[in-house]
Amino acid sequence: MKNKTIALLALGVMLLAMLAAPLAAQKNPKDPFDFPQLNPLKIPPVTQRTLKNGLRLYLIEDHRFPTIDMRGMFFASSAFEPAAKAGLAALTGTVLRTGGTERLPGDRIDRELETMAATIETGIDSESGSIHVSMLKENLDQVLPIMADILRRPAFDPEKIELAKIDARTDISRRNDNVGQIASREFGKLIYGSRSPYARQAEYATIDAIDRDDIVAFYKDYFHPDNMRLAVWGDFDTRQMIRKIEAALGDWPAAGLEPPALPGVDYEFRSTVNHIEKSDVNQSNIMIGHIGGLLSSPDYAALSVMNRILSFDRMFKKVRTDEGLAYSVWGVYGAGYKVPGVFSAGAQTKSGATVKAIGLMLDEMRRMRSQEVSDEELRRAKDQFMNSYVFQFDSRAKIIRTMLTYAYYGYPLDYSEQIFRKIETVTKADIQAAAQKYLRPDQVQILVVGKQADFDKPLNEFGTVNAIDIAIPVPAGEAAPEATPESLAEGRELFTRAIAAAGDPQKIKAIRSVRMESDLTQSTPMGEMTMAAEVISVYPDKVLFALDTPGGKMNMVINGAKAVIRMPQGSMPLPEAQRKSIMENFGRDLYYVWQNAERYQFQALGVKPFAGREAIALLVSAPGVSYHLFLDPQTLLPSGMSYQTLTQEGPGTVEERVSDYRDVDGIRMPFKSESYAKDKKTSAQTVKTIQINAEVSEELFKIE
Amino acid sequence: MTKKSTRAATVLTALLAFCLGGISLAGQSMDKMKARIQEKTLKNGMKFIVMEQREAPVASFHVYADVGSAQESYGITGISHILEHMAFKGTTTVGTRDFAAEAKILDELDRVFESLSLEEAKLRPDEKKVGDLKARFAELQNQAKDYVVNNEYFDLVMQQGDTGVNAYTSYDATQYINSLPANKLEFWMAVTSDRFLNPVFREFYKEREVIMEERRLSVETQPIGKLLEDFMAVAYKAHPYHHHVIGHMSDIQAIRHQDVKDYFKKFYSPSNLTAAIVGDVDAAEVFRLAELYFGRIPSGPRPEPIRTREPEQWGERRAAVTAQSQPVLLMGYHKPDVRHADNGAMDALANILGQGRSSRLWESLVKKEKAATQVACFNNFPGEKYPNLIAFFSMPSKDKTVAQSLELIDREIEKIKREPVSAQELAKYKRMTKKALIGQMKSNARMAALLTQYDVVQGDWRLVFDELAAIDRITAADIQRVANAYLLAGNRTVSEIVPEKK
Repeated sequence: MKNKTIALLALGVMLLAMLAAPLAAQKNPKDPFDFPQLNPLKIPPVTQRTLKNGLRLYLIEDHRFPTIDMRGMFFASSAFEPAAKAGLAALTGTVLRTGGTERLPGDRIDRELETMAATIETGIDSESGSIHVSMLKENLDQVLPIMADILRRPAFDPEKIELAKIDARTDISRRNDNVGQIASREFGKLIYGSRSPYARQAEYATIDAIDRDDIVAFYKDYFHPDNMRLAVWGDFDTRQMIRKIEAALGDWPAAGLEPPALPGVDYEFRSTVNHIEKSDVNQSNIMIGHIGGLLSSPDYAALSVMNRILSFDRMFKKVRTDEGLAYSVWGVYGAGYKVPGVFSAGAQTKSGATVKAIGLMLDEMRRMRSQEVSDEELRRAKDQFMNSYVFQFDSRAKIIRTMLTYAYYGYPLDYSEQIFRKIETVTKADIQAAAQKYLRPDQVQILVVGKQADFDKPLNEFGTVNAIDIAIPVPAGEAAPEATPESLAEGRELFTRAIAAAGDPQKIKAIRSVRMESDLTQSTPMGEMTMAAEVISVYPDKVLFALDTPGGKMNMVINGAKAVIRMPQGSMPLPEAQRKSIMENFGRDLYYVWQNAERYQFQALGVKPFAGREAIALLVSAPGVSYHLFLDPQTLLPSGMSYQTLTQEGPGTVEERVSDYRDVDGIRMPFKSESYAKDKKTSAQTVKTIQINAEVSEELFKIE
Repeated sequence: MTKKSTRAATVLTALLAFCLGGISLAGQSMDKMKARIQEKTLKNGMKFIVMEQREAPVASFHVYADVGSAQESYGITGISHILEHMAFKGTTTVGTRDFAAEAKILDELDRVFESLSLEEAKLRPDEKKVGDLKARFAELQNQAKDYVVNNEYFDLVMQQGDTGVNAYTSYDATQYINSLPANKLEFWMAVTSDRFLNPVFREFYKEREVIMEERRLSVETQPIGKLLEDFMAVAYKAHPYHHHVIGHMSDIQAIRHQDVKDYFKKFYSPSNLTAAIVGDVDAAEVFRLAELYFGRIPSGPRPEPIRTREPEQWGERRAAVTAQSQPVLLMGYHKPDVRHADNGAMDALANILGQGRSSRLWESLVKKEKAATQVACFNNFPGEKYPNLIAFFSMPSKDKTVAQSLELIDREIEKIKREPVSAQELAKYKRMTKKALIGQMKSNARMAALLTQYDVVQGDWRLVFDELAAIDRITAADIQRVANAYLLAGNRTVSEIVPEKK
């Protein structure tokens, strides 16, 4: 067991030297710029201790108030949740606390804690899992066991999971209520990519896809003592506190698991102009930027000084004070601990000044690169850092929380001092060099949320405008009116007639396999690409999907719960999300549905538009699957279907249109199909041959 | 199952006994804190409260001007807030290159603006004259700019390490705050007293534009901002809590430089200002410097109290804002100001009903009925100096309605009127309040805010500490009585956001 004490950077002495120095230039001689010496900082050192199970503790006593606070951090991230279950980490973080423990139900914990005026809060975001505990010191012996139980023996009560899901769905339904929220969310997607774990959002479909097993599994992966850092501050005796924490958490077994690395960010600099229409506002919310960097960058000190000058001396003084165009305006090169931050400049201005404000902000970015800052600006910015440095250490809570953060991200514990020393040496040339290296005013992404008709000039002044649709995807089952016995009976009847229109219903029920060869045309960012494809479906649970790609033959094989992908460079298990998605396709297969019709519900929805024509709409659903089926009013043959799923651009509606029905062994089958995701065509398929009940070797589906 | 709950019940009972028995919480450290506070009123009437906190060599500074949007009348709504913005524009020596020359242009600007306003107000304005005046106005604005040192006040204090420079305007007050290394005490005295002694409201016309953007940002583009404005406008028909702190757009556009100067003269005399300094400072030294610097400000009369009172309500009022938003409920009942004897019981009522995860409304609306994802109740809304509201706020869950939230809230209101609250709920409230107060005291800045607020609104900063004893005296019967006295349908305003049909 280690037990070491670290001194606080000899801070007192340093601050004293720094702050006692009178300023060189004095603007107003009558003002007292001759400062007395600053008293030294007398805050005692932080104690560090690592328990046998790997839990690392940081403690500092503060006897001024009769309270104790704790903050624990776990290596966890929403980036580790599957995209199809976006929202899993946040739900886990919530229900960890609300879902109770083996000993106490969640509601009882709420009451017990509040009766003591104590709080325990937990959460998981893209950077960490966390727990924060606050209490009066006399309740330590009641609160600590509850905290330990929450971390070690959470119950994840299904009712509280449902409650958290209602909360999550409500958040989704409300996410377009606030302009600022829309702007920052969509800007994040522009920078990191809409599918990036750092920008993606939960959807109804992804929340629905989460079950208790997922939550328990996510918790088990990350909540371990050797994956935890815990800071404790307040009115206690350090030795006694360590003993109590050891008693509560010391026998929590270590997992010995290495937490996965956070996914990286792959940014390609580009210029884009994006608009989100809000017809009910008179002010545009503008964000401009590109990817930012890391706090560990060797240029971080220069960038910090640049940020102060760009944001205040430039953006604020120009856009707000001189032009009166905005209340809040900024330009900041953001840096993250482990994940690159975002450079963003932004303002909210009246609709009629939108283009003008964007132009001014871009000018200031350019000026930052083209000219050195003035001596005055540099002096002021550096003085500000030096003179306000003491505020980074003006309370024990701040000191220990900063230390916990550095420890968590693996930064040196004295990192702020290192930056501080570097800032002292930053020159005008350093700032200009940093601006030239890190600011790309000619490769920015521009986002405006506002009412286009009132803009001073069209946004295409800056490039082709991309309209972003922020409509919230509605789950397939939801848009439908409530089912009645009549609409269900009518729906089943219609489906039966659709099958009869295709062929002998008994014969269709007896289909064992379908083998289909076709040309598949896929829309890719590089343009359209056509490949030969072969699909063999063996009912009820086997699929083989073979594709001739430019990189060689690719095979995906699914056999019930097992799935594999085979490529020229070798085989690997098919990711679970993809396997599920393909099996869901199976659940929408016309013949499969007919063969399992007793498990399905068919609801008639009347006549609806589909692919530019009228169609008879049915809502077809069974546990885990739900889609709209559209029938041609004349022939009653299916003309296509639509459903919610995860598309290339995040969750959305996919539409499949089929046509060119031909006879195959007495069954009418479509030979043409097209897929649309969020109204954009993503693929087309032209069938060459179809064989029903062909001999299919079992070997094809063998998965080791 | 039974075994578990029995055990839990035992734990709860033990806790309850403990809490009821152990209420003398932190009495000692409270007394110690109180002993570190001193006050002095300068000869000109300005009051200074100092709390020595030696934890770190820093200090927080708070100047509380006893003027908020409640002092405003028709035509000048928003002026308290405009003045707050103008207080950052410098003085006769800060923010200017040559004040004598600058002053001439500023006067000329005001004259041109006056002529322009008069011309535009005519039934048939002379268009040429309007055009000429506008051109002259723009030209003068450009000339004035040449004398301005842009944001010199901000630069000055930030360069000295100020991490908290800001100001807030509310219905009740305007507050100016700074946080500096403690050796900058005299610097703060010099710079801040200058702000109140020699203010120059330069760049006035541009700053109004900034404030219009602030209004668009916080009210006009925010469904909840719109709801708050309309809710208050309906709940108050006479008293000036009726209008939003930011003011009406037309008033912001029309308020003149001279209006702001007059308003300053009326409301910023030293007797209307209270300062608190909390941190690593010596009280005697603070008082010496305060007399030296702030003592220079000439004394003036305290402004006359506002005359208009909100009359008794004649029946339930309703307001609806249609917006591109999900539904929201905001409701409030009129009740007396913070100094009224019933206020403590109203605080307790609000807490037991709607503060925390185990509050009655949260248990009912969020946990049990799943009708809302957020519900809260707060006392003293939107200010505390004048008779105000106890307010209820609910965000219905997806596919649930405002009507359902209202019905469930009404059910809890009826219940709390019918039956006294439990001993456990009362004990919980008392403990939570004390813990929250301790939390405030941990921060120099919040402590400075608390001391000025109590001193001005309640009449004595000592009440910050004495209030704990007052809380202990509140009984379940008090709470039941105030619930029956104020939570009456005819005394309330119900407002909601109605989602716009697309």
